[in-house]
Amino acid sequence: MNESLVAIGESLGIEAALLQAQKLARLGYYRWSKSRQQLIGCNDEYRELLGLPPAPFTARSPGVEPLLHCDDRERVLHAHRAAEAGGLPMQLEFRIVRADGEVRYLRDYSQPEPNPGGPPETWFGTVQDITDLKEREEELRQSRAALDQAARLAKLAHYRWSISENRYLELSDTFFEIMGLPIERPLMAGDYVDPMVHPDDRARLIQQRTAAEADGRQIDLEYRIVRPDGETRYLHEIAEIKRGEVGAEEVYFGTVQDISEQKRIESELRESEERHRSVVAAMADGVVLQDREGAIRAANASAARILGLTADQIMGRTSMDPRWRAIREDGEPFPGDSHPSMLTLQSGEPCRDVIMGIYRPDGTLGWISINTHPMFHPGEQHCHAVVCSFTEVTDRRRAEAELRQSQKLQSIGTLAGGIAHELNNLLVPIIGLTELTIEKLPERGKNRTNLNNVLVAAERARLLVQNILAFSRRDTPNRQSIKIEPLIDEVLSIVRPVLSTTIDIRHKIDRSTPDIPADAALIHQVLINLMSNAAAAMGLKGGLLDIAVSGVDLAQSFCRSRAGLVPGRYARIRVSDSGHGMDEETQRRIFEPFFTTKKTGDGTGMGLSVVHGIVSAHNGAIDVESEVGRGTAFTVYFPAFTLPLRNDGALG
Amino acid sequence: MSTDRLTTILVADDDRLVRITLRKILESAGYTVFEAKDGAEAIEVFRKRRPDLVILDIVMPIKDGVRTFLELRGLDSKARIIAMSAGARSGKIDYLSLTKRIGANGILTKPFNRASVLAMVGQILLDEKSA
Repeated sequence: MNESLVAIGESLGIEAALLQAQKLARLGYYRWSKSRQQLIGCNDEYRELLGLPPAPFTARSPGVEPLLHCDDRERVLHAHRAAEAGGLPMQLEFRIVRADGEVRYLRDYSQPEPNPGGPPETWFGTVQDITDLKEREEELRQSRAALDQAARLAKLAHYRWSISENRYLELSDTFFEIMGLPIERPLMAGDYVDPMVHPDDRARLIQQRTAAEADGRQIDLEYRIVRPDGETRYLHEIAEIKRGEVGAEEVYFGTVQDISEQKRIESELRESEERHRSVVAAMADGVVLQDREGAIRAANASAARILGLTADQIMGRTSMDPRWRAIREDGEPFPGDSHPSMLTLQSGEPCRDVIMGIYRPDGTLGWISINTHPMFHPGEQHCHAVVCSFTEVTDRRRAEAELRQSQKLQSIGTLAGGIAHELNNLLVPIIGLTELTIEKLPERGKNRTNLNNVLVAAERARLLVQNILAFSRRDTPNRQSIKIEPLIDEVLSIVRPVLSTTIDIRHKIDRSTPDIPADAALIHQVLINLMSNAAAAMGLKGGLLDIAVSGVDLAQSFCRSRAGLVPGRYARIRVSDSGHGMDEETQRRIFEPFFTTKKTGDGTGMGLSVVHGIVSAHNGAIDVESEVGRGTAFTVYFPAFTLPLRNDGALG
Repeated sequence: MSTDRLTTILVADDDRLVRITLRKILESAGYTVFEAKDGAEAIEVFRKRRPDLVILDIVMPIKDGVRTFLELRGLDSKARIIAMSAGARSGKIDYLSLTKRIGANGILTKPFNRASVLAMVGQILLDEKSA
């Protein structure tokens, strides 16, 4: 057979060229005899492809059969038998295992040769090594499978849609999975996805498509679909129009990703964040978040309220900002670098209950108690932020201070009561024996005058002691329902004649003023004391003495900061002057017995302590406001309701 | 009370100077004065002397004035007693007003002058005589 082909090749130039081409294409050929079940001829390339030695073709050969890969053997032999039985051509691809152990893919095409005497007896076939092709195909298949897997995992589908034909040209399997449609569903004419789009999102999708079709803009949209199974899914679609891809046809190429899970997590996160945010927002405590540099990055409404700033003013401010005016409990400045937040940022340690006084922009001083909490990124040593929370303790401090003051006054009262008792005993012989002695002295004489002066001094001492007792005695008011207006008139009629004419007296009694259960004589004493103090503060220079009386309802919030006050209806008496005013130290001490700013001899220092004693005994309260050079105002509150008498256990 | 003997007054006070002063004032008006420096002594003197009037300080050691007052009235329900105080109170109790409530014949507040003491003493003794 070889010889005959060579002969043909030699006789015809075209045959030679063909042979050459066969060699180059490594195309093997063979002839197979059905009756003998063996090859009856083949070329060198065939032997080479099968890994047989390039010996001259002499022996009978069973062809590829003994070399067939076990996985392919059945199929190939079956095909052979079928082709032989039917006298049919045959096209096969199969693997062989060559003698050297190498596995090769072969493509074997054969067809029966005409046999004029009966059914075909011989087949002529060609064999080509397609191992490389198969390997590339396999690689491609694997890479496509990987991509499909990735798309499935990412719930990412792609499609091609023909605008002119109004149908999908291509849809990936994942597309059906996402849409909840059976994969075997055929590509239908018409869009069967659009009806699934959530009605609320449809308009946006159409709008984007219109824009895309008008000027080639990309579609990039999140929308919901309602699947046939009733489930709602969030999709993210990115698509663009490829023009002229097939002639003048316009085709959308797009991807659709199911982002429902992302959306669910996002919404859960958002809800959890909102929950936390609303908790922080609703808190009465101020909460701020400060970054590594101490700048405020977040603050709740209470923080703004307590600090007296707007949210905008707070944001970005650092602890070092010179606009903070903060003081310590002892009144010393509280520098920014020692603020609790800054200490926590440096040390990574929390701070607890640090008291800070802070001047608000309106000039008022608020006291806050601060806690800080460091924040760390996982695995980091240094804190990157600090949460600083604070409570306003101004009222509490004020109530504590009032309580301390009232306890102090009470103990002074007890002490003063004891002293007064002793002094009264001492005054007995001083007065009594002096009187007895005077009687025995001549009418006119130095001794008598001297002893009379002793009596004058003793009388002054007696009055002083009486005042001390009035201060220490707090449970004696003989209370009856009294009207304040006539009392004020009465006191004014006493005070007015003795005041300097340079003092202008005004008084206004509001009709809202309630009657109060009180000891008229004691209230009288309070008013006289307050007015004479006011007059003294203005001195000869004069000024305005203003008395304002009204009824007020004191709320819990007001009473909280004042020791012993209970909410309810009160009569408020405010006595103010335009005198020299008082500094803070003086304001703090004015209710102490014997504390006086008047020069010796002008006052006993008992007046305001007596007022305090009386007001306390009536379950009332007294406030003082004063500014040096501007004047002073005392405000007294007397309850319009009856409470049990207040006893302080003073000894007299 | 008989008028044919001198009117006697018991002054009970823990303060010696107060006792001396009252003795001088009362003696200057012709009264006879006994002294007691505490409640117990006051009871003892009262038993022995049966004075016409007792001026009793209500804040005293050993036996306080209120208890003494009650014991004196126990000895003689008609005993005339002036309760005397220098602004007395202890804790929640105002002894002076208490004594007044339980029936002291008079309340004398320290310090006092001679005239007021004699006026009060004279009035109480006079009331008694006319009674």
